[in-house]
Amino acid sequence: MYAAFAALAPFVLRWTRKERVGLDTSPHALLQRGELGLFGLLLAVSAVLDLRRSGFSTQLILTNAVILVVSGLMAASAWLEDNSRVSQGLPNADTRTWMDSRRLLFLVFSLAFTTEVLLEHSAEVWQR
Amino acid sequence: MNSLMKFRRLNASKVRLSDSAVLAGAVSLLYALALIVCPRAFPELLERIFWSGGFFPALSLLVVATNETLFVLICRRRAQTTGLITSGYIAFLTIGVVSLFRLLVYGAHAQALLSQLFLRLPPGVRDGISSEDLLVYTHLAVVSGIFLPFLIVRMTQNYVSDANSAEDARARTAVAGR
Repeated sequence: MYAAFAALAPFVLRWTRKERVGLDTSPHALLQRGELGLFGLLLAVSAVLDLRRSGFSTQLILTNAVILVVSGLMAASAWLEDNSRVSQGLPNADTRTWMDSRRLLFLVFSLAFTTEVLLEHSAEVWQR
Repeated sequence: MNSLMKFRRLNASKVRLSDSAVLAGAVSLLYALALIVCPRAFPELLERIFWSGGFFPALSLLVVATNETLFVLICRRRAQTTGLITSGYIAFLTIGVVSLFRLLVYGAHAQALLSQLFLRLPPGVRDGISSEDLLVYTHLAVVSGIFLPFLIVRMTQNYVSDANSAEDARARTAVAGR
C-alpha cells in the first residue's frame, strides 16, 4: 500500500499542477532517470523479508534471496548509472535508462510474484 | 591499468542487461502461471522428471538453446555480427549456472536424506528432497540460467570488447580536458 502510494503520489501532485503550468505528466517524463529501478530494489527487499518468514531451509532461502537481491541491485543500477553519467557531465541517455529500468523492474516483479506464489503453494502443502 | 586491458581487445558482440531481463521475467511469470493453473500436476511432473534422471542435462540444453536464440536476436536487432566467442562464452556460463544449481539440489537432497536418517521422521515421508524445494530450485535455475550469464557478460564485456561507445569516450575526454 505504501509502495503504491509512493508510486502514485508524484503523478497526482503533478496532475493537479498540469492545467496551470502545462507539465508533461507521462510516466516516461516523470521516471526517465531510472527511478523505477529503485522501486525494483524495494520490491526485491520486501520479497526477501517474506521469504525469511517461510519454512524453507536456510540454504534455499539464501539462494533465492541472493537471486532476488542481485536482480534488485541491477534494477537500481539503471538509476545509479544515469545519475553517475549526469554528475560526470556525460550525455545522459534518458530513453535507454527508461527502457532498462522498466525491463529490470518487470524481472524483479516477476521473480517476487513467483516467489510469493511458491510460498503460498508450500504453505498449503504443509498445512495438509 | 588493469592487466586484462593490456591484452589485445576483441571485437566481441555487446549485450545489454535488460535484453535478458524481459525473457527471464516472462519465463518466471509462466512458471507461476503453470503452478496456479495446475497446482498438483505441475510439481508432480517436475518430480517425475527429476527422479527419472536427465533433469539437469535437459534443463541445460533448453536454457542454452534459449540463450543462444536470444543472443542471435539481440545481434540482429542491433546489426552486430554474431561472434562465436560470445556465443561460446554464453553457453559456457549457462552450463556453469545450471551445474551450480544441480550441486545445490543434490546437496539439499543429501541433507534431507541425512536428516531423515538421524531424526527418524515418520514413515510416509518421501526420502530426499521435497517437491516444494525442487519447485523453488527449478524456478531459480531457469531464471538464473537466463539472467546470470548475460549479467556476467555485461560485467566483463568492457574488458574484452572494443565496442565501447565512441560518444562516451569523446565526452570523457572533453570533461577531462576542462
